Amino acid sequence: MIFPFLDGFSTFTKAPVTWMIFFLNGFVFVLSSFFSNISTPDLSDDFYRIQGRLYANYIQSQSELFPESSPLYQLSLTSGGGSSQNEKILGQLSLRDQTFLSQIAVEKPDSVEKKFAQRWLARMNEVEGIDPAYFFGFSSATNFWVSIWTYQFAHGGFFHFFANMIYLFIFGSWIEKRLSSVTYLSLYLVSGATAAWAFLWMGGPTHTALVGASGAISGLIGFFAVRNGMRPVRFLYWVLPAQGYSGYALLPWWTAALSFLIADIAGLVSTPNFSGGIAHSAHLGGFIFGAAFAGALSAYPSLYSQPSSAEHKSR
Amino acid sequence: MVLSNATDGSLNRAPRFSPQPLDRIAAFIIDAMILSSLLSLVTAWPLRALREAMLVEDWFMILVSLTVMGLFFVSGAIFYEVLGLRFFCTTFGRRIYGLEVRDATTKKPLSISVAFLRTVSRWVEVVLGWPALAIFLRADRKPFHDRFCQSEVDYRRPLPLRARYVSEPDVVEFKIGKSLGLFIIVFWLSFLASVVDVCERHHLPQTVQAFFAELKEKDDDSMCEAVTTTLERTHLTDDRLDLAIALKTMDTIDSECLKQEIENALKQDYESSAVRFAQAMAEDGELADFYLLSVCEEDSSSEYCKAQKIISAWRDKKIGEAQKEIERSNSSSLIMRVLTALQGLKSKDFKLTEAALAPLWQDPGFVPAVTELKMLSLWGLGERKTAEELFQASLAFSSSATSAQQSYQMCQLELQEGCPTQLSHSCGYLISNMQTLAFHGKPLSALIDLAMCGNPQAQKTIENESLIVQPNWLELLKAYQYQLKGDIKTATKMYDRILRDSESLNWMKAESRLRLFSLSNESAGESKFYKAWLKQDPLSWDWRRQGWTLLKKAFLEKDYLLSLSIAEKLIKIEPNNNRLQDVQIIAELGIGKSPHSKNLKSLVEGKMRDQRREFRREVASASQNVEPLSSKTQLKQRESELREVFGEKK
Repeated sequence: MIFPFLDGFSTFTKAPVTWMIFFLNGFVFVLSSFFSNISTPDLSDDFYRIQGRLYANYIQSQSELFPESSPLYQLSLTSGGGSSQNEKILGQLSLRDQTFLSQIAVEKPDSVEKKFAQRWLARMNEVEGIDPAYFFGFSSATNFWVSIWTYQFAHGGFFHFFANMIYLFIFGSWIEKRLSSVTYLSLYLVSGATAAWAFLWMGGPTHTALVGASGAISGLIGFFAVRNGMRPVRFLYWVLPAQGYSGYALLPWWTAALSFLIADIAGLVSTPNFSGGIAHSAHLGGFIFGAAFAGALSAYPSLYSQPSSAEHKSR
Repeated sequence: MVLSNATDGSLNRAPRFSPQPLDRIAAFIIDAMILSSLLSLVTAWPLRALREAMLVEDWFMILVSLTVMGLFFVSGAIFYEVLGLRFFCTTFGRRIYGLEVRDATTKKPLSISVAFLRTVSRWVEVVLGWPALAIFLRADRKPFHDRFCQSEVDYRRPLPLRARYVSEPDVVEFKIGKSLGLFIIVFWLSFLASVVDVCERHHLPQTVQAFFAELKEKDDDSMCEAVTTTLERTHLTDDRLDLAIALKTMDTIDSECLKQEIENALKQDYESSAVRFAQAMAEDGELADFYLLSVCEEDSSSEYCKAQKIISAWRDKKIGEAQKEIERSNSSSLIMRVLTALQGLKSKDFKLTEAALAPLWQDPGFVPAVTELKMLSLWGLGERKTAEELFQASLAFSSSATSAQQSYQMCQLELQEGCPTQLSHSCGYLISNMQTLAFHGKPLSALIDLAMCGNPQAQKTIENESLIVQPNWLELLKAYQYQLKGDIKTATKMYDRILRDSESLNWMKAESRLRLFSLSNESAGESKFYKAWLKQDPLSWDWRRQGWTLLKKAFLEKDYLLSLSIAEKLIKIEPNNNRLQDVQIIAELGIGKSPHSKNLKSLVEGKMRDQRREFRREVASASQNVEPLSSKTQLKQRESELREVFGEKK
């Protein structure tokens, strides 16, 4: 395991904006956990499967949109035979199909399917209205100009929150010391907004809510990579549980930046559109914006104080 | 054990000494990290193709993408190491820890072929976890690939700062090596065990599902033959029995068929808890109880023993204990749960059914059998609206065979309470989709039941001549129309022809046989049909229909004692059937009971629907002047005759 550690964690007085962002994320996380525990009818597997079955019926009835040779049509055929995994995938995919979402409740008047679809839509609205992840999250169904900012402070679970906050502290506090608070906050928020835009642009419209600070933090990583491309920075490594096999090492930053990019590009290429999980497109969008922001900042050197070599700690 | 801290750059080697084992392991970990990172990028596209192909089960693409991925992986891993060893005597990971791989004799870099052989053999060893054992346990600290290729791992020259040589493994290293070996053995054994477990868990439900798919279109009588033929493919006795038990549980095969399977197992001197359980299922009464009690004697850890405990606890009214047993048992055991649920349904313990289904219901996936059981138990518990809703929800996603079975079962429940004038969703669905559902046999019988009890929609559907779905289907309908119109002669001729026609399916023959009997002049009580009916399994599908035919015939013959006897037997299976209660009342009056007698009064005033209460009061009132069918002496004589026929002791 190898991990960029830079200056480590900074105190509140040294990185107040980073701490404020952390508190805000923490507040939303606690709020989400509280409401999730008491009232959220979350999008369980069964719910996705019901969606999937409805979507499979819809696909099979729309021969013009989905010819028999299309992968979705083939997928819809396999979902009826009890393949719960395929039903779930179709259920997730259905959230990306705006035509389906707009037509499902009006197709086949008085059919059982319609009644079931109405029940499903009611449940969907209920979830979107109550679940904080959906309330704060970013998707085609939410208010673009509000959710593009709010989604950056909501998380899907403890480990999601924990991992993002570690990276926030490491990169955020390092950058905050070298930028003014306003510039740093702008970098953070606009990186997050760009990440959300990239998520929609690359993946297409979807009702699946995007949550998490990782898009904004990818912007910080991109910024850091451009400003410190060839400089050696401090990494924490752990190979074996023995003395001499863990500690700090100085490595050129591009090695870590490359590994971030490789992971996201590989993830993006290898993940079919319908799979959920990590939003690699958002990471890449945030990273690119952060890198571009760093490049643009070269024109305004007064806004950025270069780190001296003494600031880097050796092992 | 550290013997030297050589930092002077000396070229002198100490052949007995080897580099630190942890350096070699750490170098391998770093190489693996770098490789996996690079390979994730290279194999991203085929991985995506594989994921997409797996979804639509495109086996050609699955094969192609797996091959491409495998090639990338193997060639990537090999080239990374082979090229590194040939041209630099090292790789990234080894470089970080100052290690080199050279020819053990000449100390020169390995040739391409030797480096290739070393890499391949090393990766094979890595998969088995072997190299780490060798460097901790062997005196020369050389894994197989080093000995095979005559290579050695050493620190590069001049010696790096961190270089530390160690001699033969000491006590601590032996302990580490042995622990590691033990861990590897345990890991592989548990891996194998989990593979076997997964196979076992998935094998049975999958096979059962495959059976159902195969047997869907078959009618009841040919089912056993088809099942037996299919079971011949399974060689393991337990597997065969498990499947037979599962099929009996779902009422796909009858007791006779299950008995054949038991005999087959016993012929091979094979006795297990599965055999005992099967015997319990195939028998009735005390014999079934005896077998059920001996299930746990064969294997107290079997699924059947768990099912037995649950059933026994429930029978003894130890509801809490039964629920605990259900919670304790393996939730993945579909058969055990369905068995228990079915037991609950049969004994009208709907709470047992609910408890057994609860874990399955958390992930129902609209499994037809589970959904059907759930509907029936909801109905039994009085939650009829929910049962109807579930039926509707399930319909949207069911095959025609499943819809046929579920609508049939639901409609039967409704029929048991009397002839529905306003059709429910299930009976309505059954009638409006008869064109499709008639393929599956059972819905047709429900349609006929509905038509016979006077439902106009059902009668209209039967008149629809476009319902030609099976040979002789139309003939059967026409014969019934003739029967309704009173042309008994033509109807009898047609039924007779259907019965003799080899193209007729078995259920049609059974139906015709039943109709012919109902139209014949043969007395119900003295007929062979009646004697055969008494010996039949009361839980079979035909038993109820035949019972009703006999009851009608006996009733029309004014044989009220026989009517009462048949009605009492039927009412055990259909306790909420109002029609049967009506028959009971009339029959009780018919055999001379006073309308004010305790039993009759409780029947008239008992738990029943409001609209029927008035009707029954009218019947009871009108029957004040009903003359008893026979004198007391005649009645006693008839009663003793019947008891003889029933095989009951006086």
